[in-house]
Amino acid sequence: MIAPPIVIGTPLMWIFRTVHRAAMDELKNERRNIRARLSELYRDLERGEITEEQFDEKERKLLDQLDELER
Amino acid sequence: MARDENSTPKGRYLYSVVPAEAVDKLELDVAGIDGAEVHPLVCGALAAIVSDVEPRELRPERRNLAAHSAVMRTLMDQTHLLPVAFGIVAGSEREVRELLADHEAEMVEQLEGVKDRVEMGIRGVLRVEDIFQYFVEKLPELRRMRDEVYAGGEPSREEKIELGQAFAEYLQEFQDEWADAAVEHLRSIGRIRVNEPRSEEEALNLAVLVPRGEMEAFTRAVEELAPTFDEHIELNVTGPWPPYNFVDLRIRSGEEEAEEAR
Repeated sequence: MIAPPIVIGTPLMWIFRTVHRAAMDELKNERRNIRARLSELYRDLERGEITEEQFDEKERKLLDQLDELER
Repeated sequence: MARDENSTPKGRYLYSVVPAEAVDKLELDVAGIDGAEVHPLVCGALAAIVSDVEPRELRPERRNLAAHSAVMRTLMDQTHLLPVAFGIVAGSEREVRELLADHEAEMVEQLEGVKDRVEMGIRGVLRVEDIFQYFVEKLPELRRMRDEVYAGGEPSREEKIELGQAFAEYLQEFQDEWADAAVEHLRSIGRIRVNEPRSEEEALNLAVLVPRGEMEAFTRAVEELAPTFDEHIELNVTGPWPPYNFVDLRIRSGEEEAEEAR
């Protein structure tokens, strides 16, 4: 199991007005979750907590999931 | 990448926020996302560290994550910083400046909190062949339960679930105890963030915000801590890292804002 993105104290709510306007749907949370997991996965690799092979395998799975959602 | 009028992308990828006074001495000799040049945008007491990108959602693949991380590492050797989560793209330079201006006070305060400090990670891993078996041997109650459940041959699905739940609860209790012990031992060093262990093998997952001058004290404290744990727990220390666990900048993209406003 992978932990959710780290949240500490009182979060600063920053608001960005533009960026691009992609379609909105309820899958957004799941996409956000997968993106956060990929960030964490890379951090694990940097910390030497997983091997290159483990990274590649998990990255591929997560990116596939992400692609699936974006279809 | 050349920044000429016609080809310069309008979007800005945001890596980090640093104090404006650090900018003059910064050496940003590192490739950003898409190999772009990394540069500061100063606004008041703050500077955003950005590179030019086409406004788009960036794919969180290794190439991009590595670029984000490399910029952060370059920065943290030179100044204290607020790390920004991967994937934040502002629509224009002006937007970045507005962002800094609107949140100047909070960001200055958060920067002050991590000044002259680095994040160190401590992770405890249970090095045993079979975690369930390990707890069965450690806990007579769990062993009794296991023996009862398996007494009449293959247990039912319900029995297995019940046993699994009991195991999960014991595991949680131990993880809490280990975390408490570590926090108690390290609290004099600096702020501590306890993260949930992410697997059954993970006994402990902490981040400590260590003042740069206290690194030796930190190392000593960890060395003293290790033998107080179960012999099967291996403590791994990593760092220094940017203060990921001690700063939280939640930046929302425009689409998310629009979504929430609906």
